[in-house]
Amino acid sequence: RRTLMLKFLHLADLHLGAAPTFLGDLAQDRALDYLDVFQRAIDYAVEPSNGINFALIVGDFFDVAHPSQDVIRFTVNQLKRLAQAGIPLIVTPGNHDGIGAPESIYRDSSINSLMKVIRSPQVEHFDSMVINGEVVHFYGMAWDVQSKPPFDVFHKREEDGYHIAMIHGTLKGGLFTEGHSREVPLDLDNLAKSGMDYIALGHLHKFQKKDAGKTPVVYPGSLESRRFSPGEDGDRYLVVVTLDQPQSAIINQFKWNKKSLISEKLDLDQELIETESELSEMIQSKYGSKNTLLKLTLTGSPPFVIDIDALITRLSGDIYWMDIADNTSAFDSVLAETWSREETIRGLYVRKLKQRLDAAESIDEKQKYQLALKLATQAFQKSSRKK
Amino acid sequence: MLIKKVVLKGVGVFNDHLIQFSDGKINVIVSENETGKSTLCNAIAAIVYGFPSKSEADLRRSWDYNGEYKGRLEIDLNGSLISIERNFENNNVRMTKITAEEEETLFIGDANPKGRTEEPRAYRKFLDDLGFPPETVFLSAIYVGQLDVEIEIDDELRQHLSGAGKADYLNALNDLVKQYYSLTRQGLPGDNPKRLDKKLEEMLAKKDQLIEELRNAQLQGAELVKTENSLEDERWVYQETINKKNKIESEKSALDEYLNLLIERDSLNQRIKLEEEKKKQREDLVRTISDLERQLIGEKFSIYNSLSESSLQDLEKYVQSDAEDISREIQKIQSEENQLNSELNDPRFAGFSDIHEDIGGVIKELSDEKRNLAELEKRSTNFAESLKTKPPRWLLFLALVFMGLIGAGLGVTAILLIINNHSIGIALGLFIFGAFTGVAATVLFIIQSNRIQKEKEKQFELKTQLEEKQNTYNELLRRIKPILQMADENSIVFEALGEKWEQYKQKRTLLTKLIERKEVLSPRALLNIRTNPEIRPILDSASAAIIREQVKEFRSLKTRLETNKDNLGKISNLHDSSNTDKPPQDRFREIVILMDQLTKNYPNLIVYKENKNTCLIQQNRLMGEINQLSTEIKNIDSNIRNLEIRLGQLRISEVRDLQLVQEEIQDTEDAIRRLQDRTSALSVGIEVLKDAIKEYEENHISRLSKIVSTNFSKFTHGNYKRVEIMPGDYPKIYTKKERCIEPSQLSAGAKDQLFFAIRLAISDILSSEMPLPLILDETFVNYDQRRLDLVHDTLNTLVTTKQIILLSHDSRYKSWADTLINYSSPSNS
Repeated sequence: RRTLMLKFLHLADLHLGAAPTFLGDLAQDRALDYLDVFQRAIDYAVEPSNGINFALIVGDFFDVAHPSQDVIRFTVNQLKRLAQAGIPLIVTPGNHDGIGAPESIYRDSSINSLMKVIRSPQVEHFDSMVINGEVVHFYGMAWDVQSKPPFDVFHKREEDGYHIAMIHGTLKGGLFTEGHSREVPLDLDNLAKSGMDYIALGHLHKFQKKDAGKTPVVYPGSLESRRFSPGEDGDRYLVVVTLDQPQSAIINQFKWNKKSLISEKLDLDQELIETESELSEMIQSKYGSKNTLLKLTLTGSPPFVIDIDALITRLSGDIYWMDIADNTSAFDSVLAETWSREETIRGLYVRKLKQRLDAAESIDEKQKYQLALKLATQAFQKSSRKK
Repeated sequence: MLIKKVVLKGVGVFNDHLIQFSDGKINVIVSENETGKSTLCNAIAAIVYGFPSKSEADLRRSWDYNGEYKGRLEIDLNGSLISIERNFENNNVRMTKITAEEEETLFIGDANPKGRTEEPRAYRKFLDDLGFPPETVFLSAIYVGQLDVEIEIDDELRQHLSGAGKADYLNALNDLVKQYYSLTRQGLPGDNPKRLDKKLEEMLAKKDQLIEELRNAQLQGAELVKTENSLEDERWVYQETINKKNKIESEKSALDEYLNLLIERDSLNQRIKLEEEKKKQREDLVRTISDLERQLIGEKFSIYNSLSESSLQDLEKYVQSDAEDISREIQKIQSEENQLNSELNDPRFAGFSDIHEDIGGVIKELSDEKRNLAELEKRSTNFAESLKTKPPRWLLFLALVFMGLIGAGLGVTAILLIINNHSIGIALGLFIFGAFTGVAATVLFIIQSNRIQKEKEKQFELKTQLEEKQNTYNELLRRIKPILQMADENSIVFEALGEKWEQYKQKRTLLTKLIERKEVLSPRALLNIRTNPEIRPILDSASAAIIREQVKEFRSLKTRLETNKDNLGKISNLHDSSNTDKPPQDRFREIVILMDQLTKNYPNLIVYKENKNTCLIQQNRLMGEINQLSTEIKNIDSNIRNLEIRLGQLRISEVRDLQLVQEEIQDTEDAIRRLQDRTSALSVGIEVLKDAIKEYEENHISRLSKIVSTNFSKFTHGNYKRVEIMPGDYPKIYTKKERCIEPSQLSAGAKDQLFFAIRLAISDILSSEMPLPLILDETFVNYDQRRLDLVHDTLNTLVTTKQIILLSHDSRYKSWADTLINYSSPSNS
């Protein structure tokens, strides 16, 4: 029936201005990545050949409710580009940039003239626009203290055109959900009754697509990962949606992230590694990249005792940021085994520590003796190297 | 363990070599540098334990040999011949026990030193069972590298006790302690806490700070939202109150207007009533006036009405006075007057009429003064008489002069007696008597002179008083002179005179009163009135009493007429002054219309239509409400201003986003957890290491001292008796004379001997289950000949209990050799 089609960017969780504190000195450098991926998304949108008609940002556009002036200036510039290209932008505030927060960015007129912000505390019809010859009805809400569930009933207008809902919320059964004080619980069954043509969600940072009845329900995920938490690792995608008939969306994903968060466990029992330098080489070959943020947990019982600080120092030039946790069992190493047979002080030390380890009941306590052995081993080896 | 045979294939320079050793002798291998001496040493350990890593194995592999890469070791282990053969390519080991009859396989399989599978573990266990020390100890015990000229016995000792290699347990312990205190200031068991905060405390403080920040941010956020809501509420209330006030104000202004209309209406009403009343009054007055006028011109009063006012007043005066009674009284007074005049002209009152004052008092005074004067005269006469009776004064003075002369004479006699030397007593008596007489005469003279003076004064005083009294008396007398006439003053009886004066005074007073009364009773005016031609006919027409009544009535009528005319004039004047306004009735009608209009817009005003007071009360009530609302508005306005200020403050304060603070708290908590894990691991590590050191020392040091003592005594041929190994300190060495010295006091040669004694003792302790050979690899390269000779001597003693293998490039050692081994050519074994 419809001959015209709509093509739009479905963005969410951009977290502009984020500078994750766990990165320490790198936080400010990392902050640029979020701006960079957003700028590239705008590049994509304004490129006429891509045929983008409008763009949605479904929550957490900014990392905080009142971002820095630099971030605002940058954003204003990008939004001006969208406006110049005639691409409407509809934004709903999220839990990070809540509209009810003190000094909310959404009260800043310099930026609000460049986008349409959903401000209703309850889900309701927000606006209807004629875009590319089609009437598009937008629905959504911006969480506020007055917001009351249910959040997944839309009171659809019985009018022709596409009906698109935008909610920054947590879908029951979605991947990597998180609880927070501004929880907006969504139920797929309720969404199915909405009669929407497309439900654009935000909040969960991993791309996921579900079908609520016939309605496509999509989390585009973030463009750049933020912290090491479930669903944050792996690639991020720019989601381009094409609607050419009701309740049928073609979703195109483009890998978009600049850096990747990799959170992995490495079982050294499964690897043929005999020395620390071999371990270092192996990690380097597996993960070595200036665009990698690595959180590695070493397990198993390598023949040697790992000196984590030395290992990180050795790898620091090859990986953007890393945190390596040594959960290996030092007691099971050949080194400890050998030392424990010695009639020396270190032999006695290992034996005594082993006794404590065997008597320990909690995992924490066992970990403590493991670490005590590792540290003492390094101390003995260092004392030897000093000579 | 004795090394019997080593076969190496493809190991370093050893492509296929067999090296055989003898026991109980010094085995010397002399070979050039870089010809495999170190490789040989390493290979012996590698055959038993394997190369430490694959890369190490690759490194040791012969680079110009393509054959096998393996080694075999034959050793004598407690009398059994054991063969260990290792393939360095895959670490496969075959261990056999060789007897004359057979070769018994003890182990065959993977013996990878880093192997974590069952087989290599089993192999390591097997070595352990055979009494092999761990590889590290094996190497440390068996191998002695190049020695420095100065041997640090203490370091050497600690390193070996720590474990193989150059590890040093004290350094390791210090390192752990240092690491610990770089993380926290909390004291280790037995230590005091450090002064400054370290990473852990800093992180804990940071966490507290962040939690505080979070709390503040939450509070501030909550306050901000609350303030915004309050502000909104207050603004709403403000608007509501303003609206309410406006409503009441418009209600009040309507009420005000209504009230003004009511007031005007009532006042008009009153005016209308008043005017009606006045009209009626005027009519009444006019009627009364005409009535009165009629009466006045009537028969009865016309005669009075025609009189002039002055005549009328005269008539009134006349008829009101009782003229005939008066003339009778006057006649009576006249006769009394005459009687009195004649009495007063009596001769006994002659001269009285000339006195105009009341002299009653003067006469009495004169009587008193006459008495006083007589008394004074008497006293003066008596005094003069008393003076006449006294002796003459000159006689008295003469007697006194005589007494003085007697005194003087006696005095002169006494002096003469003294001069002529007669009795002094008599002279003195005479002198005293003479003197007393003189003095007495003088005193009496003075007293008498004074008395005479006083008498004179008193006499003078009396005389003066008498003169004064006389003057007073004469003055008084002068005042009554006219009534005294010719009478002798001494014969006057003042009491009688006083009585006569009183009688005269009474009569004269009565006369004066009669004359005054007569004056009052005889006005001539009344007689004139009667003669007035206007009045006369009236007086003649009727009695005075009738005319009096009629005039009184006429006067009353006339007064009433005047009063009524006045009142009428006043009423007319009042009416004239209010005549400038619009007629009140017109205005009244207007007001009624205006009130109706107001009640149409404000229907509740109707209740006040007939009740001005209620309206006033309502007006006051509304006024009160308006004032109250104004106060409320002011208060709300001030609240709003305060809230706006607070909101501004809250908005500009630097508060980070809650999420970010929470994330940082989480990161900090992670860091704290890691630091705590590390400090508690370090703490327990330090504790266990200290414990291990203590236990080790307790178990081994005394034994070590004993073995070292035996060895050292043996090497020095008894020059030194014993050595005490002190953990953490230099060993103490005792000479055979029990003198205690430090290692530094030993000669270089004795130090070498002590070194060997300790090395052997340590070797015994570390590898107690298996005595190991000693491989000396270029150990003495720095030694001079004399020291070398001494070492040779020691080794000769040592070799009886231990297999010694000496490796060197120096051909001098060839002479030491019990067995000289040359491996330059491959063997064919």
